[in-house]
Amino acid sequence: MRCDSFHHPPPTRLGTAETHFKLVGVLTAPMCISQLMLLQVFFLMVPEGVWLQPSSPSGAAPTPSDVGPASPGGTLQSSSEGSETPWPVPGISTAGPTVVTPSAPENGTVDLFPALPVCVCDLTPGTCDINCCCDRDCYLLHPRTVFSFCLPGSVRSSSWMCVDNSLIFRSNSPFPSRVFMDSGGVRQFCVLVNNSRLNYFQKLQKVNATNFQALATEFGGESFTSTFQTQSPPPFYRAGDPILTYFPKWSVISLLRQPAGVGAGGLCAESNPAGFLESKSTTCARFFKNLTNSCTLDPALNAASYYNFTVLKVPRGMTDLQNTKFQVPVTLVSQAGSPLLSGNICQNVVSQVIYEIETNGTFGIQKVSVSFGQTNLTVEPDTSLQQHFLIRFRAFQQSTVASLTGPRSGNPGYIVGKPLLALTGDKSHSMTLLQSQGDGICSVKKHEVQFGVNAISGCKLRLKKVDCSHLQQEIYQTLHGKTSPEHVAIFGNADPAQKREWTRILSRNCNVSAMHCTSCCVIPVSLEIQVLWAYTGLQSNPQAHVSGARFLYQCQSIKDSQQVTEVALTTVVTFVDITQKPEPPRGQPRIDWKLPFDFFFPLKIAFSRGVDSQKGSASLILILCLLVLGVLKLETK
Amino acid sequence: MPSLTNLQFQVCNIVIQQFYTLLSAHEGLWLKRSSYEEQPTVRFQHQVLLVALLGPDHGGFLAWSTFPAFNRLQGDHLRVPLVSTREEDKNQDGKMDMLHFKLELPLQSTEHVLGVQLILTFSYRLHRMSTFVMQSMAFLQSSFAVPGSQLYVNGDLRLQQKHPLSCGGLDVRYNVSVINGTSPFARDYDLTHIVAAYRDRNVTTVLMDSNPIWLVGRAAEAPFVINAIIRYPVEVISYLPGFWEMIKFAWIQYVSILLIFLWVFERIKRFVFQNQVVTTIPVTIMPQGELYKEHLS
Repeated sequence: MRCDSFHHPPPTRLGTAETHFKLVGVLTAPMCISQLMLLQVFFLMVPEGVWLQPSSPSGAAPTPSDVGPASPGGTLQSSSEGSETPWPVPGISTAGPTVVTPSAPENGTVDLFPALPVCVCDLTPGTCDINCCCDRDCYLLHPRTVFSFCLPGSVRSSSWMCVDNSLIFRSNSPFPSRVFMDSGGVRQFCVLVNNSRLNYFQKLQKVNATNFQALATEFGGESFTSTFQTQSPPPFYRAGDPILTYFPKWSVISLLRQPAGVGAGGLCAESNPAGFLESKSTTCARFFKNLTNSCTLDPALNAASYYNFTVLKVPRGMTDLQNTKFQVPVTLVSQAGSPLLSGNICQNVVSQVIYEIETNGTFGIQKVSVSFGQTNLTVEPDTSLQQHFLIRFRAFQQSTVASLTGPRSGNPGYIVGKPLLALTGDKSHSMTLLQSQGDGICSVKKHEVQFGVNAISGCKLRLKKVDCSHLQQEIYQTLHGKTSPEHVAIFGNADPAQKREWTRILSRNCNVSAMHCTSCCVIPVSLEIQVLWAYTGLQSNPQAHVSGARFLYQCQSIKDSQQVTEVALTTVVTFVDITQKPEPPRGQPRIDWKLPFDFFFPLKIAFSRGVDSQKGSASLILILCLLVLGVLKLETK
Repeated sequence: MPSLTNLQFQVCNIVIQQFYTLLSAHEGLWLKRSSYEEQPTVRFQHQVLLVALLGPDHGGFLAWSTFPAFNRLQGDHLRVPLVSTREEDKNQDGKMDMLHFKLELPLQSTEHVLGVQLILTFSYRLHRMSTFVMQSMAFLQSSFAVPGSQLYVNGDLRLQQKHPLSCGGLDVRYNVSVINGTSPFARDYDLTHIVAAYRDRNVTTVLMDSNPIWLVGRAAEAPFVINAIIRYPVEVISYLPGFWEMIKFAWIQYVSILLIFLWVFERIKRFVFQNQVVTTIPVTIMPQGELYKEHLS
């Protein structure tokens, strides 16, 4: 590779320091090391009046004796002072130069001009500043003899531009040049840059009110910002915006809050805002050190604190708070008492808050209603309470019938994790599993079966003293829920009215006849719900559907005479994927092949990278061609 | 052909010695161990064994497993959790990529979980070289000084090999269940016993998650939750190469060095004989017939 730029500067323009320095700068590029010889030649030849023509650089081959290393002392042959006038002709260059001969080059700080017009380190007037070589208060002719060193700025500063000294054999630059030792002990050949455009900061920009912001954004990056931002309220809510509320009693604007568990503790973060149109439920825990006090004083336990405000229809209502046109009161669906401490029990504590909000596009919130779930707490040293908050959004005047059908579990195909829909009679509900309470006894609460999620759960059921058929009935009810599901939805969007969108659940009660015991009662102890499902439709857009479901009961016989008080029940749900995958396209290796199907791997890599590696694939093809040629040649021999 | 002189013999010896030292430099001529990458076919066996260690004031522990015999042994300590699991094949390549495991253990308000021991079992299959089938486990033990409400684990099920696998065939050495679920004896469900037997294997899997997260602050009626995401990553499996694989790599080295030595040795031989460095006696080979005749007579 050649460094063309080296040959190009016409001789007549070499005189300015700028162009000259560029010459040296070019050398620093690693590609140009091979051109060093030429540079040396160039420098050598110039004073002798032999001008190289750019077209014939090779004509100037140096004799070995011409090429000598730079003198170890570092100085140089340098250099006529570079005035701003261009280098005229070689002969005249020696006419009137101020010859600079630096004497102590190694450490570089030579006190050439002790008296500076501005002494930057003279900080205490009338006193000699230590190591400030330009301080006139010191009255020192040779400050360096007293001071251990001179502070930067106390001697005349100069800007040197340096290249590695090994690149230069000899310099005939007309400008002051020197060899310094840098901090790493590497010798550097430096040229004094005598060009006002390079030496000084560019002229200051005028800053006024108009361009202040422009300059700040152009040159500035990230910086600290004050958190306080003033914004005019938007005309209407957008999805996810916090909802504004107004407390007329205190004339305070606040946000509609949906406390949520936060951090490792799962404690209620009181001020978590609810997002507009974001229906969601949150759960969090509260702990009470002293429930006797908190019972009546803690607003979080008091239902009134969840509706004693109005909701702003649109954020614009902030500007005119006296106008009730922009406000919606929170209506109570059912009466909720305030907490009451009676004896050791704190009654009417809020355990669940459900907001129903009706919205109408950009007209904002039209109606807000709230309902509560309440519980009683026993006063103990460390009482805790779990609260549930649910906010549901609904389009204004939407038919309540439509909203009763509940959310889909997919449209059409089931989505993993959504409830599995079952049908009893004409009523659609989600399939459930048993759940146990804290003490292991069967809970009234049931766990929803989620599509695609295998689950197992169980609990202990206390048996009442009833006859066998009642017992059986009770246990069956516990296992499959109050009503036995008859159908299961094929797709996640099944309509209860359309019977062909549902498939019958195959149910197999336990085999009673197998038991040879007359005084026995055969009771079911476990229910296994098996669901076969598969993907249908396009492979790129698979839709999961239920192909069939089965209830499998397992039974155990207990003797009437036995005093069985408890029975352990188990429910299991198993999802089996019976999807038949299509054959992979031709040429694609199957997953169970053991053949070395990566034979053409390099080719595949080269061609699959595409446009961005044209070079790579080209060289690969070249190599392949050479290989083929070589093989052909061998064969012809 | 010139006869082999003593010197020639020595030179030959040195050259052969050099030849073999060069061949067996560093790794040696033969490929003794190699490795390949494969994503295993892992399936969760839906076997769970849980021991939850409770705070001191309530004493003891709660336990549950999918093995009826184990549950029978627990008596009052049995507490049936709600377990939901899902295996996910993210890239639809027919191999499962991760397991979502969630366990909700109902607790009374006075019970506090301080530690958890959990065993999940997997069936683990490798296919590319030898068909390797084993039943393995992920053992999770975690405890914290403060009673927890949730334990969150997100880790990889990594393969650990003490010995390389073979290069082919069927390997079912460890296709035995980790927990003997049919046994009625308490000893078979003892964790130390299970772990000791498992660690005896040459090939095992471990759950790699150095930092399970404990979340504290459980409300009285809330269950203790174990939330685990276990990934089945691509493994680098070391194996013993077969005969032909060894030959495939060896002959290239052998031939490439042999050619150079043959050339060098040829040059030396020529130099020695052309310049008569050693005394040589040219001997003409006798025709076979004459030799035979002479022998007869």
